[in-house]
Formats: sequence, structure tokens, C-alpha cells
Amino acid sequence: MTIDTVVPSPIVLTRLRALQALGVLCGFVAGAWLGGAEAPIKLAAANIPPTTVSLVMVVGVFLARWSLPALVRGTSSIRSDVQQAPHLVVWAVLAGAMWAVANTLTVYAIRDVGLSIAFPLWNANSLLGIFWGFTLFKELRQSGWARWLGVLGGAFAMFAGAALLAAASSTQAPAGRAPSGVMAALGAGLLWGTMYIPYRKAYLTGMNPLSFITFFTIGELVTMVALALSYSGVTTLWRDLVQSRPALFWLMLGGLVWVIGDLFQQYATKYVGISRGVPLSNTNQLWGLVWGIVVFGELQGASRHIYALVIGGSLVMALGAMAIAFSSATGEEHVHWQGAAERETRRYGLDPAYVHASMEGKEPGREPMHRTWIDWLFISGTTAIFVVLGMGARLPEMHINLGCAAAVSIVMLALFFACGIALWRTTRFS
Amino acid sequence: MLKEPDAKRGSLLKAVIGDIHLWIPLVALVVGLILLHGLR
Repeated sequence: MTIDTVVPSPIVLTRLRALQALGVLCGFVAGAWLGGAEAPIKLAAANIPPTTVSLVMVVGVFLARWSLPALVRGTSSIRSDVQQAPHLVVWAVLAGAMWAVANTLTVYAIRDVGLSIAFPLWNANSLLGIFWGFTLFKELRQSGWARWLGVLGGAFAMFAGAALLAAASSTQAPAGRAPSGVMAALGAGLLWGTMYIPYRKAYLTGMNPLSFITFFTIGELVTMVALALSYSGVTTLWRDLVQSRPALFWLMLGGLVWVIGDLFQQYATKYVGISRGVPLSNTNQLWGLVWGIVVFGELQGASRHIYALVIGGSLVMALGAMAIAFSSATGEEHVHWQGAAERETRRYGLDPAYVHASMEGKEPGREPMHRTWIDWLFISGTTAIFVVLGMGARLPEMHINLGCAAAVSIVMLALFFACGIALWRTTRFS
Repeated sequence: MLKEPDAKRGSLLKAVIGDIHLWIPLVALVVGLILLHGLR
């Protein structure tokens, strides 16, 4: 079948450009918040078992992922999304399970080979994302050599930058158990890179990111609880949780910050595809480094060689991200995206109007957003849990520049509001 | 003969199971779980 036979009405070029710019902005903001999620986790005690760390984070993620959509749009919109494309629940749950396993693998990877080796290895997931985007979802088709060079070259540049940054930022990397650590990091990269298949599938078909993440968390939480229980047993897990009481707030806060980053990453995936959205959100490493250097005083007294690595790595990574940002999909490439969406529409008997409108960031025929008592229950319940845990939280004895922490947090919040307003104005959070 | 909603559910299930986009992530998940099991 030629592409012409499956092409629905072409999307207006100006609208396409606006959505691409919005997707790029979402990718960069995702990087800021995903990187910021490392800060609270740093405050948690280092002697907590990896599965317990991952489980508590996932609980934070779960609470945030049920209350954020309730706050933004109300949960009633989720029901209408599921009625339109019920099959996507399977992919959302599957993606959640993959995230949980990948996240646990990263804890083992950092333990065994340190951040310097682990981070660039799992960040290679963007290269896998480009591969899946091209082969399964017709991304980068007819996009011209310049855009290919921008995306692929940008992703490789980011990989190189990530390697330099990680080498500089983890001079205290633990030694030993290298093969298992490398395998764990590669496994996390494989899972995260492949997890973008469900992401792209959902957004190509029209599901709203806020609805997708709601089901994503079910797969995530069920998998993580099963892993923690099978590895530790009920008694040991409970003991670990009780002993980790002062750290629970920081781990759950890390989960909350991560959710906000992931939400922007989902919008980036929706509007610029996985081949561009994933590498852009991988700028999280730059933000992790900002937190490390200015807030936690890492690299103090480091050699000039280390600083050269940091500056060089940051520049290379930023240049790679800019190359991708300037390689937006052309009208011709977007026609191929529509072809992939048409394939999904036929396979699952979806309403073409729903799919096409969603690709344009619109939601025709949707009931006006409203929040019910269930939404307010989610929001107030989550807030109460965080307040109670926050009251029992303790800052560990370590160097923390609170002024710089506040300044970086303000920048992150400014990005959050700027991108949130842009999303609302352009798509009404569609 | 299946009632209409059952038939619709059945064909949806068939479409999901026959979709390669399901099997690639599933295989990756199984690989990840085996790896995790080995690292314990």
C-alpha cells in the first residue's frame, strides 16, 4: 500500500510547526525534572537495599501519577480515553513493568560499576529509541540527510558528552563486579529504549499522556511489589521500610519529581516522536550535574582535568541536544507518521477522527473537564501522605548549599510553568 | 455464536496478541527479569 492511500487530511503546516516546537520544549523541561529527581534520592541513606529504594520511589511515582492527572484534568477524562482505545491499557501496564525492572537494574549498575560507566551505558537507550522510531513508527522517513545527521549525530554527541560528564562526576566510583554492573546498565538501557515502543504506540493512536501514565503506574507498582516481596519476603521488606523511615520522604519526593519530568517526556514523545523526544530528555544528566556541583558541592578541589571533562562534556551534550532540537520533522515525514497512525486505526478499529484530532493536539467532542470528589480525594490523600512523611524526614549530614538548591528549584519551577502554560494554550493538555 | 460485545472483545484480543509491537517489549521485559534474577 502506498503512503498516499493511507494519508488522511494533511495537518496544517503552521500547526505542525507549533506542535514540534512544543515537543522540543517539553523534551528540554523533561530533562530538567528527570535530572532534578536525582537530588532527593541523594539525600536518602545509601545502605537501603536496591529493591526497597526502587519500591519506595515507585510508591511516590504511583501517588503522584494518580493525583497529577486528577489535578490537571480530572480522572473522568481517563475513562473517555480508555473507551476510545481500550487496547492501549495493555501497553501502558507493560511499559510500567519495564520501567520498574529497568529502574531496579540501574541501582545494581551504580552499585557495581559506579555512575561513570553506568549512566552513559543506559543513556544509550536514545539510540535504541531512534531505531524503533524508524523501523516501527516511520519516523525520520523522507526527512533528508540534514535531519538524519542532526538526530543521529546529535544522539551520538549526547552519548559522548554523557560519557565525559559521567567520568568526571564519579571519581568515587566503586570498583569490582564490573561485568554484572555493565550487564545491569545495558539491560536498563535495553528496557528503557524498548519502553518507548508502548509510549509511541499510545500517542500515535491518540491516547492522552495523562491517561497513559495512570495505567503505567499499575504495571509499575504491581511489578515492583512482586519483585520486592519475592527478593526480600514480607518480614525483611517491612523491616527495611521501618529502618528507612527518615529516608522515605526523600525517595518518594524523588519519585514525584521524576513523574513531572516523565510527563513532559511523554508530551515530547507525542509531539516530536521517540527519535527526537528521548535524546532531548536525556539532557537530564546535565541537570543532575548542576545539582551535584552547585548544591552538593561535588568536584570541590577537583583537578583541572576533571573540570575540563565537565565543561567539555556539557558543551558536547548541549550541542547534540541543539542539533536534535533543530531537526524537527518535515511535512513529508509527518505524512509517514500519519501512515503509521492509520495502520493502528485500522488494526484496532479506532475512530479516525479521534486519532487525527489527537495528532493535531486537539480533542473534539470531549466533555468539558471537571473534577469530582474522587479527584479531590486523590489530591488531598497524596498531599497528606507527603506531609506526614516530610515531618519525619531528616536531612543527612552532608554538604548542601540550600541557597543554590532554592535557586535551581526556582529555575525548574519556572520551566515547569512556562511549559505547562504553553501546553495548555496549544493543546489543552491533549 | 458470540454476542456482539464478546465478539468485539475477542477480535480486539486477537489484534493485540498478533501485534509485533507487543512482543518486542515483552521479550525485553523477560530479558530484564532474567538479568535481575541473576544479579541478586
